[in-house]
Amino acid sequence: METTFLSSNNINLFNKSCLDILRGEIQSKKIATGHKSLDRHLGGGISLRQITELVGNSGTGKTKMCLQLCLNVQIPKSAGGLEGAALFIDTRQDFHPDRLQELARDLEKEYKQRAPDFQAAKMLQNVHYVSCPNAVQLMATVLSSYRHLIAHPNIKVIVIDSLAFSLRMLDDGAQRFELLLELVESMRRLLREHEVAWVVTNVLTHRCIGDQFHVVPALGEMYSHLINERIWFSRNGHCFLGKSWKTSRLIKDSR
Amino acid sequence: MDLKNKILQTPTGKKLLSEYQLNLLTKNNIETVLDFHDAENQKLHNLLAIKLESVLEIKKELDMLPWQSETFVETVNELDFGTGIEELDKFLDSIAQPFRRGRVWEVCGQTGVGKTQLMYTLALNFVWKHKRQVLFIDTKQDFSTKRIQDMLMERKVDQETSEKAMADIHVVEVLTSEELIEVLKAFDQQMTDDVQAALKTKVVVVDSLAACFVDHRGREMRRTRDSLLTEVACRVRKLAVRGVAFVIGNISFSQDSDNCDDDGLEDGNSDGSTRQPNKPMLGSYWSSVCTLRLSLELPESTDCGDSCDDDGLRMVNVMTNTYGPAGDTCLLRITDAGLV
Repeated sequence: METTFLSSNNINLFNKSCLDILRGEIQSKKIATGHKSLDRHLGGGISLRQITELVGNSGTGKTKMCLQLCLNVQIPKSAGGLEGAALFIDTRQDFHPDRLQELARDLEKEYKQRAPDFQAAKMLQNVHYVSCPNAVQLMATVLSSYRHLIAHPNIKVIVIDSLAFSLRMLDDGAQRFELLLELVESMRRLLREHEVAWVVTNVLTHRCIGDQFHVVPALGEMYSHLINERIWFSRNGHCFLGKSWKTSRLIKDSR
Repeated sequence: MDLKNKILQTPTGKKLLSEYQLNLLTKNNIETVLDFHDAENQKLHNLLAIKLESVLEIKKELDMLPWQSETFVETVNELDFGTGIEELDKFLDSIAQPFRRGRVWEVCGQTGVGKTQLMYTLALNFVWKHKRQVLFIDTKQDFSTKRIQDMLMERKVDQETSEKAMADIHVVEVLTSEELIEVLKAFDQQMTDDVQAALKTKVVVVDSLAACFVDHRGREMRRTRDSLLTEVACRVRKLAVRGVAFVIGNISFSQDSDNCDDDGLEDGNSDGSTRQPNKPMLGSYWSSVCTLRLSLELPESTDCGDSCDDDGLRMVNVMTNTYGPAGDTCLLRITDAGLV
């Protein structure tokens, strides 16, 4: 019950209008996804202080997007980036440094003119890596992620690839749900204190509604409510934006 | 000044009232259109020495005057806020539940169905039409100025107007239900203390209530949750009595899915009734708090299957209504400019 919140007499409710936020936002940057129209729909990229979920079947480019974001967050300020670092939480033991390096080289080429100091070798140094083979370790890592942020204050994005994987290994549904909400809660708390973005990946699953099977993102509806943004990846390279499939918007032109 | 001009614009006012009579109004502290509207007919009749019918005529004509958007004229009828969504207003009038002061609305629906968009639309339409403010309580750290901006852009308004509208929407972030209670308390206190901004705020939007109660789940936490929920409800009602209208977002789950899924989907609300297709969170107690509970749903159109062409049509279903009948539905369409 004890929160560090101000007592009711001195909360200023009316000091932050939509316009103030807008003006603040112009200064605070977003993490470009590298996908032009996706960036446009997101207003410049992935927002800090939000939880963004990438969902799609395997092989649709979720992990690639994660890696790309780890690199894009490092784009120098002179070139309009955040000049931050990234924390990569790997639950699937599926992290390929060479894949990252490849992407880093591409990015280096892209920014050769504008930022000659922006080199692939340096980029790799700024991606911190934690491996979490099971749900307990994932929980521990998320809970203690503020320590990483203190040690490396320039971390601007924390990626969990994949959030669903280790949770779905748990047999007990109630325990899984409990752990998931606990995870999301601590993620949300961190967002309040630090200016970072969470990027998590999720998979699709089948659910029987009535007598029909529907393809839905795993991890349940309550969780869907708590995340801020959901980006869908489909096999043909298209991206969609929106919380549920039926209402999602196709983001045209591939990357 | 404003009132004088306004009255002179009405045919009856122009015919009957002299400069002297208009000055009399100012002397008697009737300075705005609203004051004029609120003043008793009998008093005006005596003061201006005109017929009672003429007073009523002027009032009626004042109501009819088109307002100029660039001056943000004080709305004459402060009691009825209106949603600004034509279709919805018509529908709500038919069920005796127009959007007005003191109303507590709940908007529920599944994720991604457009609850937030509806709430943004309501907030924007309100600051747009009235010289009042909106307090937006954001529990998901989700408030998107871009979406507001996009809506304004789509409505093709000039910079100044849209900045004005945006300056009138105040955003507060809360994370837990305790903080929400603190905010509502503070709001109440500031109204008592005559803080201008608090007095000007007539609509509070909470997006979403469910998100700050995720902490409280399972059997053990149920009592805590219920007591906090009661506290929230009391605070909301107290403010509603003081003339603030509430729009509260809540999530609902589809209940007719046999839980053959692979995800533990228990929301701690096993109240037993699985009759309704969509069941909002927060249990049966909360369902009695709001004066109107709207459920936003995707209409069951021709098999949408897994195709992605969302036509933006949404069905608004009245779940409970303390002022009139429930169960009616109305169709709205989500557009880039908000809901219409």
